[in-house]
Amino acid sequence: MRSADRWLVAESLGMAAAGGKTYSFKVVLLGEGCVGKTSLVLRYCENKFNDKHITTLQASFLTKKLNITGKRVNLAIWDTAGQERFHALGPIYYRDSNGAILVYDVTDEDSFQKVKNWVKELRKMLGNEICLCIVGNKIDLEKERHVSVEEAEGYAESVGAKHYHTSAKLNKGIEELFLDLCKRMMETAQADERSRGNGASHTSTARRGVQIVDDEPQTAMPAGGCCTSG
Amino acid sequence: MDASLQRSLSVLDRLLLTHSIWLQLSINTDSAHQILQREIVGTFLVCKCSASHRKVLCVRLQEGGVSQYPIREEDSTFSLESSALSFPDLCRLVAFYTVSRDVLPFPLELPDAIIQATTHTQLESISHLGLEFWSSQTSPGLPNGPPPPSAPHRTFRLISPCFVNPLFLQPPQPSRTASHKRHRFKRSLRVRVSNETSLSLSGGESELTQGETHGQNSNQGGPRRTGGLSVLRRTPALTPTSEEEDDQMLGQIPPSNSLPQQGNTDPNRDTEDGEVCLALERTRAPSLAELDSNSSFSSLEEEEAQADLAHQWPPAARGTRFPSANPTSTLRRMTAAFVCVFAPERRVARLVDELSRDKRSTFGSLVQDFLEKQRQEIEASKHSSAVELLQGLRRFLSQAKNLLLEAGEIEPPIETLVPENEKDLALEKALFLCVLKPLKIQLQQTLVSLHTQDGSLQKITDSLLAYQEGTLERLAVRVGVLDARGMDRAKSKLTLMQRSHSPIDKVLLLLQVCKSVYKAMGTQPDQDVGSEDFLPALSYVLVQCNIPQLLLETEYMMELLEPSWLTGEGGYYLTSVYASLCLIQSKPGATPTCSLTNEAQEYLREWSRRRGQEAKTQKDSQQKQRFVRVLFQDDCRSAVRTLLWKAGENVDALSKTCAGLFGVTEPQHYCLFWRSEGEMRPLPAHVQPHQLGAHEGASLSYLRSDHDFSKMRRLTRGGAVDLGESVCEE
Repeated sequence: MRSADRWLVAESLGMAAAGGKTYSFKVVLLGEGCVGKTSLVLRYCENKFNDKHITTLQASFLTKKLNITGKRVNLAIWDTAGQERFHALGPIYYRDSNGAILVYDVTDEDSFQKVKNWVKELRKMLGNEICLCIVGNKIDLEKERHVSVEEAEGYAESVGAKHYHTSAKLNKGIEELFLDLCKRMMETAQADERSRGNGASHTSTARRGVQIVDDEPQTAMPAGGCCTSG
Repeated sequence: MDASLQRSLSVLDRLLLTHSIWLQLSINTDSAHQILQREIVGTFLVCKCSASHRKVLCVRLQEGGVSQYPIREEDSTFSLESSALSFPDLCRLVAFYTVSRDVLPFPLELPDAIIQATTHTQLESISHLGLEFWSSQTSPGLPNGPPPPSAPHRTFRLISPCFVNPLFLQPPQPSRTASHKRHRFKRSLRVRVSNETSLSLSGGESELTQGETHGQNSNQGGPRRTGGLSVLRRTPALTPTSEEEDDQMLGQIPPSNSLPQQGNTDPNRDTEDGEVCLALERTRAPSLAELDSNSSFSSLEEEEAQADLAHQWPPAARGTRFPSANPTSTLRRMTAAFVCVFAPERRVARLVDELSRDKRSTFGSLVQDFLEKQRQEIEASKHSSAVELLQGLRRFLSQAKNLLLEAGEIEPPIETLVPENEKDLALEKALFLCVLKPLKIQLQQTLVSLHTQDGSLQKITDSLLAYQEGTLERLAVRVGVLDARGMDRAKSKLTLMQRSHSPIDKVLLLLQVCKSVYKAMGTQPDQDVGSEDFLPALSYVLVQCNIPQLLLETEYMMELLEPSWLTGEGGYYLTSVYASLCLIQSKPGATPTCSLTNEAQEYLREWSRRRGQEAKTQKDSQQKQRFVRVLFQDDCRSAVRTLLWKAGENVDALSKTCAGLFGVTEPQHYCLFWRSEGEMRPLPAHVQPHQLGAHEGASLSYLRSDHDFSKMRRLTRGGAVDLGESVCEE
């Protein structure tokens, strides 16, 4: 990947309509500190575009260009700091996201609990337009698994999210995860376009604002328990 | 007709003045095909492919067909997809292909009327026909035959030679990186693009290099069909320019000792002079990996170079649009400005800036009125919060950008100056220059006073102070941090940031700081560091730099950058700085989570409200108005102006506006005409904006009602130039 392209992702948001079918999506990575979300995304972005500049220099913001069924997709992947002390900064990072990848460690029950908290918060703040992926990472440590497959998949289904199992170490399941997420975000964007009629360009996918249900009292969120560590 | 007058209009001049004829981005390749069918071999159009949305050069072929050459737009250059030759803009590309065929079967032919025009006014009349030009043909020519045998020679007697050197001649090499390409571009900007006005044909040859002399001879002497290409291939893409020009350029780029004087690309060199290139590389905002500490910033440079600019750059790049005592000299100046401002995005910035100062233009009057109103409001302290003030500015920036795109007042059109994917960035930068820069000092003072009033400046000052002790432990920094020297540099960058008016330049400085933070983290090669480690390290630097005004800067960038840009890398690190500032201000000890979330939630709410509003306003305004180009001509004057015609405004009102605009003293004798069924007719009183021609750039003429219509008929393709008169006597 050319380094200049990373800014171009931002740039192309404004230009998408001119270049035909180009989708630009922002995906935010959420999850507790040590679940391996950074490794996950590094795996994904480095595998195809083996650029030595970016390996250690910047793992917080990465981009990936894809071609899915003839349509160009630019992904901007935002890493977030997962420790509890940074939790409150979440909204600053995830606003305007088209997708969220919520990562937990299959050997760590607590990290799965955190994912549940994030799901609640995201649904509350961004509504149903954001595509959620719940990812059980470190399946290479299957023997030490503490979160059952049934529980995780059942939960994902109950909140309208998709569930994936990955191993950043073995490079398993990562491509599938991102490809699937992209397809879903494209579907959402296309539905969005249709509902807006022909007047909307592809930029609408990027311009779509956050959805906040106005009749909810503001204090509902902390009271909902999503901020307390579980 | 005076032959010297004709010479003063080079091919490039003609192309610049008549882009509305050959540049037809509103039609697709099928329509272009139909038009070209009726023309002689070599006639061309640049249109837009409706499938790929790319520009395509369509050329009439000998066999009666029309060939399509897609135009590649990348790395700030234009090139034919099948060719290795790149050009800094579209006009130059076309000009080159009128003298050299390269990948084409033969060079391009300009329509007779354009070639034979001898004055700037004639070209303007032709230009005003727009797409109509192609249906207003008076002499059908030889539809299926080759061009008249005399054509090449005739052309060369009439039109002053125009030398257009492509930027580089290497075949595209996929292995080479984009930045490498830009390096070549940067150097080849020194290529001389000359026409008669800057290159004396008889003298001054001693200062020319072998290569340039070569090119000159080949272009001037022999028939132009003989491959200019083969000569060019032997000619270095880069030729030294005169000392004078060097000085001009040095005003724009950092000291260029490392620039090679002879233009061979030396790959090793490219990696070394990374710092020099940044000024020009910033045709696109560089990413974190590209940034270097010594890069320069246009908004800061301009501060210093202001005085020089006034001397070096002629004032009116757009002089052709308005009545002028000496059209030839304005044209010259226009070409000169066009040539000397080389970085494409700066060229756009300069054109837009000049337009914004000209109150006679729609854009200029919009900008000047806004600036005046804004100054008054600031003086009267009308703004209740900084965010409100900044959002008002952003709304105006978006509105002004739309107007620029719709009204088509930029000459030459922006589509010919920068590649599609760089257009938005170039326009944003240009708008920052003409809107934010004039307000800079007042804006800064107001933002400080607003933040002093609401206590936020005090709060961040206190928070930063409170964190000074034991910062590393309290932020739980687990990685390496900047040393004292690095910290000094970071601090000076954050301080420098406050001097720039441009949110983009501010972000670039911020990215430099972020890059240095990453470098200092000094992690093992196999260790992945994400936001987890970066955020505390960044917060540490911000605390140590202890610049409370950073809060204002962050807000300035977040509110004034085009919202969709905030998704990119610049947006990510800007968000990180914002998050760091929130972290620093959160109450230590207490669970920061809930106290901040309410604020954040309100912030998000506000954000979404604004976005919805913006989208709605834009859509409304597009439906209710129309930009119309009006040509004004009387015995001694000729001018074209763009007007905003609002729905509901009748033709009478529009005529009144025109009278004022063109300084007509007896408005009762003038009226508006439009072209209907190929004839010029008075505009019916009930016509509304949407009833004008469907394609963009609708045009009207404002003329005496008793205008001599036999003369008027000359406003057709051949009529603009009296062919009998203009035959060159040699």
